[in-house]
Order: sequence, then structure tokens, then C-alpha cells
Amino acid sequence: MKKSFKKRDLQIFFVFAISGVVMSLFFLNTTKGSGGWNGIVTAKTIYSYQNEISQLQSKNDDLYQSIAELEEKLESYSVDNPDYEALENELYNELSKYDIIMGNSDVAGEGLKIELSDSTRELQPGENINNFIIHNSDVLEIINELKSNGAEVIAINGYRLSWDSQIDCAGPVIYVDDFVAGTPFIIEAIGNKDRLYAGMEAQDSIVQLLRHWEINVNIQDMEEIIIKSRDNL
Amino acid sequence: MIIALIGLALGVFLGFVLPLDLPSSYTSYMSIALLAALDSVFGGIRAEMEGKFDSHIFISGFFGNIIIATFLAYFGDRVGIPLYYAAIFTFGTRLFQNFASIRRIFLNKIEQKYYKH
Repeated sequence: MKKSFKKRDLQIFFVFAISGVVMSLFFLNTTKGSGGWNGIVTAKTIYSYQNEISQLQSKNDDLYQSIAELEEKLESYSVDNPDYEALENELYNELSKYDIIMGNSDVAGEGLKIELSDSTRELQPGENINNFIIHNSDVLEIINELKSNGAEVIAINGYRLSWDSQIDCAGPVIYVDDFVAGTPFIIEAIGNKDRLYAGMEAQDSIVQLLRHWEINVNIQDMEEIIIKSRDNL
Repeated sequence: MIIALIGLALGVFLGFVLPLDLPSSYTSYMSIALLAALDSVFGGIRAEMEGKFDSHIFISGFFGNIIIATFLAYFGDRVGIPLYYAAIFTFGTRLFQNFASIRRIFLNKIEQKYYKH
């Protein structure tokens, strides 16, 4: 009887001890950490975290790969004995190229010279004078045709066109940006002169239309045209 | 009763002192196990007070409940069905029922002690 009583006590003791361990472990685990307790972690949240981790890992791998690529690129740039002269030359070429594009330097080369002046024919009764004078749109179309035929630099009456120039009507004259151009218009274009000439004299070009209205169009191909930059006007 | 309290105190002490680290992914199972253990403990107290305490039933209930409840929670997580609700409802309801019985017996005892004379 006494033995069974002791055994029973031992069992109760163990059960309560285990309960105590479980409880204290639980509280320890729920209170530790800086983030605090944010609910019991279920399988669903674990799954979503695993997803996120794998996504971040693949992103990490990509980034590591790009690091390797960039380092390779960097290595290819760092030559042991760089040819400073060639580098300087390269940079100078690039600079002059951008100068030409921006219109900051004088340009010379073969090209085309087009002279436009209004018709000199006497008007017959019933004819509209507007058909016999040069409009800004005519000049604009010639410019566009020159560009599409490979003109590199274009000037109107000596005023250099840049990439953002505009042509406006101003009554008897035209505005090119702020520059006032009047008749006769002299359009100079630097480029392959044969190609430009052929383009200008093509069957359905704007030049043929202007000639139909008896506007004087005189096209010359030149061995050398010098177009000055705007700063040197 | 004394021995139970001593056991509980020792268990809590051991839990705080021992360097047991519970992975946070197991806390849900741990909470279910804790609920089952509490239910068994309250059941044991009630049986003791009713005078029909059987240590074998107590021990087997304690461990069996913990194992089944934890297994249900784990299985539910694997399958995707929240089976641990079954354990929570059962053990939660029984816990309160046990406590109600304990309360009645306790109050009856007090009543008999003070109002008889």
C-alpha cells in the first residue's frame, strides 16, 4: 500500500514537472527575441516565408552574376600600359563630332549650294501672286529633302541649322530661329554632293514643283563649302 | 497536492535553466501540447477531488492526449486542414468543465465546513 502510494506520488510529480517544463519553454520562446511575439507560426506563414526566401535567393544569384560580369568588364578596361595618346585622340575625335552636331565649330566639305529667288515673270490677270513667291514651307521641304538625302550640315544664308532649328514665316522674309532670312535664299548643304544633287533633281522633288511655278532654283555642286559656326557669324 | 506544486516549480525552473531551444516553427504544436497537458492536469485534480483518481488513467491520458493533439496539429498542417481546432475545442471545453466541477466540489467542502456548526 505504501509502495503504490509512493509510485502514485512520483507519477504526479513527473506529470507536473513535464507540464512546468513545457509551460516555461513556451513562455521563454514567446518572449525572447527583439521582434517580440507575433503570433504562433503556422505552416502557411512558414510556406510563404520559404517562398520569399527562395525568391530573394534567386535575386541574389542574379546580382552576384551581374557583379561578376561587371568585374570582368572592369578588368577588360584596366590595361597594363594604356596608350594615352590614342585615348586622347579618341576623345578629341568624339569631342569634334559632338561639336559638329551642336554647331559649335566650322565645317568644310563637298556639298551643294542652292539659290532660291522669287519668280520674275509678270503676273497675268487672274493669277495668284502666292503661287510665285517662296514660302517658309518650301524652304522647310527643301531642307527636309536635303536631310533625307544625307546632308550632314545645312546653312541658310550663312546661318547654321542645328538639331533643334525651326523655320517660321515672317511676311516677306522667313525666320530661322531668331535669324531673319530674305530672298534670295542660299541654302548650303555639306554631304555627298552627287547624292544630294540627284536627290534635288529627282523627278518628283520639291525643286521640280518650284520650277513649275517659275521660281528660280539654281543648284550647284561644290568641291568645298565652308559653313561657319553660329559663334563665328 | 504539495508534491504536485513542487513538481510544477521544478519543471518551470528546469525549463528556464536548461538550454533547450524550441524552433519557432514548432510553437504551434507546443501550444497544443500545453493545452492537452493542462486538460489532463485539471482532469486529474477533479478526479482526485471526486475521490476516483486512478494514476494509470491519469498518466496514460496525459501522454496520450499530448501525443494525439500534437499529431493532429502536425497532420493538419501537412494536409492543409486546421485539424488542431478539434484539439483546441475539445480540450478547451473540457478544461472549463473540469474547472467548474472542481469549483463546485471545493465550494461544497467549504460550505460543509463552516455552516454545519
